[in-house]
Amino acid sequence: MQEPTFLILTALAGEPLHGYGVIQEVSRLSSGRVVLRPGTLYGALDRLSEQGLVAAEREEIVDGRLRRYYRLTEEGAGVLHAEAQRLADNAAEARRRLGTRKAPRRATRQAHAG
Amino acid sequence: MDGLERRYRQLLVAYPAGYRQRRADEIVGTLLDAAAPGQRRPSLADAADLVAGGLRQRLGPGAAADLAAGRALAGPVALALAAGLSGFLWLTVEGAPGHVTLAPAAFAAWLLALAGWVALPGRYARWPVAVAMAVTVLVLPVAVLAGAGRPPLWVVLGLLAFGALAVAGPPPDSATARAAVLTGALATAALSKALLTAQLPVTRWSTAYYHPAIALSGLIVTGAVVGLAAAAVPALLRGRPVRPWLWAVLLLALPGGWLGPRTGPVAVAGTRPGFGRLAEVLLATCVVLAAMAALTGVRAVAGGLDRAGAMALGCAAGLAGSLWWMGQGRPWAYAAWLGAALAYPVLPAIGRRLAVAAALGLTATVALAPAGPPWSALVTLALLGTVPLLAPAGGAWYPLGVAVTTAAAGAVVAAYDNGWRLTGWHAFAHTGGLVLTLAIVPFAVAVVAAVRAVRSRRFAAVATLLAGTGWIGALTLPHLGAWGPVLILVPLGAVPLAVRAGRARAAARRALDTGRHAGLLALARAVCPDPRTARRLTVATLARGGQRAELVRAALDLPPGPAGDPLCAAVHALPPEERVALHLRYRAELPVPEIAALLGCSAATARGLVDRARHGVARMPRDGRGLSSTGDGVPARCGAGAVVPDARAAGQPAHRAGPPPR
Repeated sequence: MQEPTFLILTALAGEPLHGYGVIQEVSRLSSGRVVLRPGTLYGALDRLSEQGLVAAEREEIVDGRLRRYYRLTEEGAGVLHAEAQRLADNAAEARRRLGTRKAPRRATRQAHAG
Repeated sequence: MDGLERRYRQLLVAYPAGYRQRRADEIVGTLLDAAAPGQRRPSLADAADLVAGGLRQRLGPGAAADLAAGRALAGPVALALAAGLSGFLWLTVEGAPGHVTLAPAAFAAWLLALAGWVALPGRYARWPVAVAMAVTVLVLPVAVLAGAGRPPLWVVLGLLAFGALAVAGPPPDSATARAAVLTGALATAALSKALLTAQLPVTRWSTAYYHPAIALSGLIVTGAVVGLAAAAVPALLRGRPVRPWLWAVLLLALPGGWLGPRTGPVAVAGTRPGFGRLAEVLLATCVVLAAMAALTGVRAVAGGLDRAGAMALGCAAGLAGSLWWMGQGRPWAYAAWLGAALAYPVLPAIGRRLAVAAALGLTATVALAPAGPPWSALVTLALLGTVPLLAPAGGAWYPLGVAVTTAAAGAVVAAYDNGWRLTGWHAFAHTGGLVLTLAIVPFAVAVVAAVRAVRSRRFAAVATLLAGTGWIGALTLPHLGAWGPVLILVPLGAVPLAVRAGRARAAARRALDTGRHAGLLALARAVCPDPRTARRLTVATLARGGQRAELVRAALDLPPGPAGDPLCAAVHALPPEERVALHLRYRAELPVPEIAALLGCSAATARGLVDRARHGVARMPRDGRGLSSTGDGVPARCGAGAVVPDARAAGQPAHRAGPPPR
């Protein structure tokens, strides 16, 4: 799963959001690193709706602008859960290996020193 | 509606009409929400993003991914060609005495762009290319203002197209990629110089500006196009995706067709539209675009013919207006075409047919009268008119829009031919012929639409095909010798691909006759009651050879998976059609309508198959939990490749495997 997709699903995990809400939330989640533009956002939302991971929920008209809210489906929550688990497992494994890395290095240096 | 909203809505034209109808309000709302306070115009990045989104939506997800991969392949090659040719033209042509133009400014910018690409960090590498494009555009008006010479128009357009390809592709990501672009540029310049040196004794090149240097540039670009096509062969043999390579080839062939070598000016005598640079550029563009359309998948679209008809009528009206304005012949025939285009929005289909028929009749009457307008103009108008006569249900406002565009293009062409003056046509035969050449575009559109509609509307499609290919052929075939290599190579390259597809179909039929692929046929019969349709579907699925046939076959022959894995066992226990549907939905990630098209059933049936399969798998015990409780309702470990919901993240090889070698 690419990062923007992951961030969109994460943004929708809490509560349903409209298009601009998703853009703001994704920007906040990534500390301003990922800036979604509407053409990209709606391409991704179309794809995710087609895959059944998100669904349109309700519409509002604010200041004459149509806002359609999207929510994460059960299926989407499952996929996001699996992806989050995978990332967490990867991160944990990376940390574990980094942890085991220090010891032999120091040991070698000590061996040389000794 | 304020100015910003209107401009956003104009940009949304990039999306297909149906999509726009459903989603435009929502997208515009989001754009306005995201706009800065007081913003008056869309930002460049938003505009580019919308146009790209619209293109993706029009191409469909699969073709859009192929195109993106092809763009990444073509971008560095395009930059190497632009920089190499700039260096070559600067050194060999601009150095000659008496040929002082402003072109070196543009050439220097392209060499700097190459240097920037090689030396700057990735995120800034594309900026110098954009600057070079801007400088190249600016050379034209500055040359006019300063009274200096300018480079030929098609060289400028070619450089701009190369630059656009480089900017559209990703920036270089490794030292090897940077070195490859530099090497390519040096090789381009050196090869051009060597070819020129070899040709100089034969051609007195100093008598004509850029001859034969521009012809050599076309040859070099063709060489790059052929090289890219050759690089696709190993991918083809290894069963890797080939379509990105084909996209890259066609993207480069587009500007390559504009530069094509022309041995000398083809005499345009009499009143017929001649085959000159304009005809070659238009024809090459149409051929390459038609090949791109074929690459996105030739779908049977009956309605396209009507759109082509409306376009043809619009073009006829635009041409008639241009010729009328230039004041040649009797205006009655011309006025009839303008009238038919104006009447299109208010008339029902039968009335439209009558209006076009009346215009045809008037044209014939004028043709019989002595000293009428030139024959070529009347024949062109009449042939354009046959298309709306056969398919009159096109969009109501199309003809007017196309007529205005055609008239504008005609005015530009005529003014160019007349020394940038809009009055006092001193060579009508030549100028009129050049303007009529513009009809290549609607005829080419009509031919493509006719090919797509040939199944559903045989008579209209065949008649349109004859009119379109007849007119284009009569214009261009007598000058086959002057065609550029790209114009010849692209159709020649399409022939073996078409033959291969035909052979694949024949092989599939034979295999079915000998009783192989019984499983696939049984599947087709299960979802499609009519046996003949089921057979046709099976042949098409087998012959398409690409990832889809592979997937269906793989789904049927799916190995049981790792022993003891209950999920794989569950998938394997499903009925074959459900297994295929599940596979296509979650491993190939095809949308439900595509699965329905592939299986030849309705979307509802396909959705039902997928749902039943999912529930079937979910009911099976899996480590004591149902599938639904774990959430990942997809058989990730069965078969090759993992299931990742994001199509792009799934990696192209997983589901976009190219056709297997045959």
